[in-house]
Amino acid sequence: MELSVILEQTVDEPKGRVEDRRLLTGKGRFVDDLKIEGQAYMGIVRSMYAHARIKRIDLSTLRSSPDFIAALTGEDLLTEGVATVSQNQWPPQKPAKRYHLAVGKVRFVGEPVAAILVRRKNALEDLIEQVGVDYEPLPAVTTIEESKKGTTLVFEDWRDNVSQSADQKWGRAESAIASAPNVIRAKLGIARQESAPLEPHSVLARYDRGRDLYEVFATVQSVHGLREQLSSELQVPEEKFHVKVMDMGGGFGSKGAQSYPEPLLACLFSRRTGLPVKWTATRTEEFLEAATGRDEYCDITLACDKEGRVVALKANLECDAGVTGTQNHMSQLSMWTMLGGYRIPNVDVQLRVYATNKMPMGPVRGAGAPEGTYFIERAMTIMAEKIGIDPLELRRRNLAPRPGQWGGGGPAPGMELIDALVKESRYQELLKWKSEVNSRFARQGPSKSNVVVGLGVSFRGGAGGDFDWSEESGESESGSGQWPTSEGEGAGDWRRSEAEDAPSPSWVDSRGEGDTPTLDFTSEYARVTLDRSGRATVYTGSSPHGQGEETSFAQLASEELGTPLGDVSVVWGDTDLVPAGIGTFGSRSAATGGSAVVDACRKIKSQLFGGVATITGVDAKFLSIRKGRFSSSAQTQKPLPTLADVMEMMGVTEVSTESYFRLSSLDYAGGAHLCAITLDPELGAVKVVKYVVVEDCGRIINKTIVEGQLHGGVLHAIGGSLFEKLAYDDQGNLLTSTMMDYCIPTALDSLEVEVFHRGSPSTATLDGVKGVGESGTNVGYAAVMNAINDALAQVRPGARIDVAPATPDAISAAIAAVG
Amino acid sequence: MSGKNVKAKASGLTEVFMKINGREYRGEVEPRTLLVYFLRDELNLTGTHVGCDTGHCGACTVVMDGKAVKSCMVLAVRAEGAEILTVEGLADDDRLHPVQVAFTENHGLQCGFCTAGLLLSTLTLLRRNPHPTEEEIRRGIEGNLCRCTGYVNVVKSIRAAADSMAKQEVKGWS
Repeated sequence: MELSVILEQTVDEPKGRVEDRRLLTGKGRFVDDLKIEGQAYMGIVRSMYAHARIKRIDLSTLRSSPDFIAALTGEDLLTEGVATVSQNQWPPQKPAKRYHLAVGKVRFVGEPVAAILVRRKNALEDLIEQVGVDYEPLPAVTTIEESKKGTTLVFEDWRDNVSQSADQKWGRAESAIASAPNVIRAKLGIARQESAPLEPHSVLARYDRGRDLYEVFATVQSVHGLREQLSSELQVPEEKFHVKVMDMGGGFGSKGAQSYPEPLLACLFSRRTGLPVKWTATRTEEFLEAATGRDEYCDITLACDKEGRVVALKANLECDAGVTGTQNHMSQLSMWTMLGGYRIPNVDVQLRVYATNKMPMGPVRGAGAPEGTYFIERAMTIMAEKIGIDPLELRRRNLAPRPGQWGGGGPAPGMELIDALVKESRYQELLKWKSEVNSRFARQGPSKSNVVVGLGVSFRGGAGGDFDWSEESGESESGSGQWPTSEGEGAGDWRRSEAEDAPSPSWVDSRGEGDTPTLDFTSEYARVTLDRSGRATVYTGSSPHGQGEETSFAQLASEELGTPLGDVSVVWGDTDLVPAGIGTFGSRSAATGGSAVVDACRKIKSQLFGGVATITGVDAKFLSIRKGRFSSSAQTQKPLPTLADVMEMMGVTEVSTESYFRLSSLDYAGGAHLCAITLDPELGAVKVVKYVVVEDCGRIINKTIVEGQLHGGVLHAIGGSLFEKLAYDDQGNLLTSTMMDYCIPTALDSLEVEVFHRGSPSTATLDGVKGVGESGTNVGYAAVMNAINDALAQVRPGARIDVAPATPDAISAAIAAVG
Repeated sequence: MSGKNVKAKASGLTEVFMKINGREYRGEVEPRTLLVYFLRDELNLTGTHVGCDTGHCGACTVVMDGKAVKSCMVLAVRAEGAEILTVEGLADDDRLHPVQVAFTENHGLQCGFCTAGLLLSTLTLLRRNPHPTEEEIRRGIEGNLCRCTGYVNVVKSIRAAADSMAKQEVKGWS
């Protein structure tokens, strides 16, 4: 396979997406837009302490209000037999005994203490204030350092505050470092940050007493995931829930698998009162409760031989998980990402995740991969500076080869991406420009109009590339925390396996009678129907909320079935219409969901061509279908039947097939990024002036959508590197609870991100794509932080910022720190 | 001028009257009701969204008497007598407004939540300045946050909208 081709789409891309028209005309249907006659409004009373005993909850004033309908407290949840907040089984973490309304104790500011139901929306905030809660404040654990001491325990039934630990070791890192000529050490980190989709969480639930059914509209990236959580937490069978989402205003992980209190509380209220129950978060509630991410810190030591080949990596990775959430794989993903892109013969990584009195951790776009990429890519750049070689050259010398998939012994795919980055960014010209501007700065010294330039690069192998090279050398010693193969949130052994080298993908569809295949992170459900007139409907377990799958999945079905795009509709986000599904997160939908669509379409063709073969005697392998008409590449005796004829013969009005497609491995887009910034050292102000992405997302279904994902992902990383930070005081109060305090990038912070495509189709997916949704964010942090540090070194040698975001304050402090 | 002639009633509700998307609307609101909730909850014009409650995100942007305003920062009673354009009034029946066409053709939207606000900010920007530079475009939409697009294709869409509006007579909104 030739690597240097620029991948072109093979499916026709429409001008504009299918979903655009309704969204552009105000006819989208977001959960908060829905209204059911007679609906009541739910409000949440939240803790104002990070850690306190609840002594008394006084609802008497509230109850006297004419607007009051009902209230719930933690004790009511116990009476109702509600289970503790769901926690994924993998990776193993200590069970955190928490309820959706605090029982006995509160453990973070913003934790729900009581829920109220009122008649009028306008009365909500007034009545929330009518609830009196007496607290006995307790010392709060607000930092990793305090958590380590264990003087105060976040959960009384734990011995210490460590919620999770894991490690990766092979070779002899310690001795390799001791004898290496080039060793660098850095204490890197990314602060606590927020997904911050523009649409706050919302739910509308209605319990139907007659049928004993719960109808739930909710802002979720997975309707099936919410159904499962509601079922297990409310202890009600899954089939009693009909969960739906239509349009959703972004998720970025925060509407993923985290179990939030409000859908459950709305169901309980509706069950008690018979009323439809509506709740929508304020932005402050969003900041207090929506799963937060990053908050990872890595003390990393990297050692190289004199030729610049990495000989060892040692790292202590720590994460502040707050009161620990439903999902907890993020820092493990960081660990593997860190070890994924380069050949590293000696590794010793320790991971500890600590509980604190802060809101729970969850995935934020990239879910650990941006952190892991930042740690290794920042360390590589520091090493390049130490050795005195170009940072891209150091990466070239250490790229992990990928035998098998990439043609065994051929050039590493990373080389392709890095070479393309040099060409497309005009790297040599940029270096020259940097040198000119910075010499001028050196001559003239800092003044208000004077800036320095910094360049930063970063790289991620991607493409099933986060794997352990120790197996190749046969030196693996340990390694806890592998992806489970068939259960839990993330499946698929992360270690490289024989299967990954297999030339063709495998999938599960060997269902026996009554035997429903299970789905997990590496698989997705699709059903496709084709009717007699040639119209197709795709039912997918994926759940688009900006990713444009209504268009790209229609394109895939259109390509497979020869159906015009306008004759394909895509259905998702409804547990009644789509019986199974995983959802949209983790850069997996086009890969898994898309493959399931292709698989189901191919089964349709197989059935139809079988029918045509029966009627005409033409071998099915010569048949194709386009616009509902069959054609044959072989001579035919009889005229080919119409679609309606074949369905008539088959005795059906439509052909419908299902797929529970499972990938042999998840394939992710690799990328090489370059970021150029200017830094005004007087103001500490950074401006990103050029950003180039070379990515390999395999075959491209819709280039416009792919590039849009990268643009947004990169700006997320720029915001995260420059200013996004959830700040707390020493009592655990969130100081950044509005969009004035927690800033997400505006149009003035953005720039024209240049995107170039290189690589080759994935062999693990049926549609040839590699997951790209998070790629821009994953690779972006390191590029921006490397650029800032490059500029800082021009201002004052030795000045460094190792913890993102590099705010103006942090930049000034970094310059001041080296005198 | 807007906001005059507001009548408070014994019920504590206040009568309001405004012209929205060319249609006259009369309603009764609590004096503290925000324009955005009047539009969404009373009139079912749910194309205008609420993203932040504090006037930062711009998802609730509407055009009021020719100016882009954040409707979460305006009391419904303050809009008494005003002429308001929301996203629902942008297309001419089935024919999309050139700004809407530019946004779909240039992928200026992903999840679509911030889109209504961006369209209306774009419209007022282009009415004020039909040929904006890139810097002017970015300043013009600084008050509209988008987490999906990185603004790359939003800026491209606005440029395309400026070009197409310059080429054709577009019905103005006041």
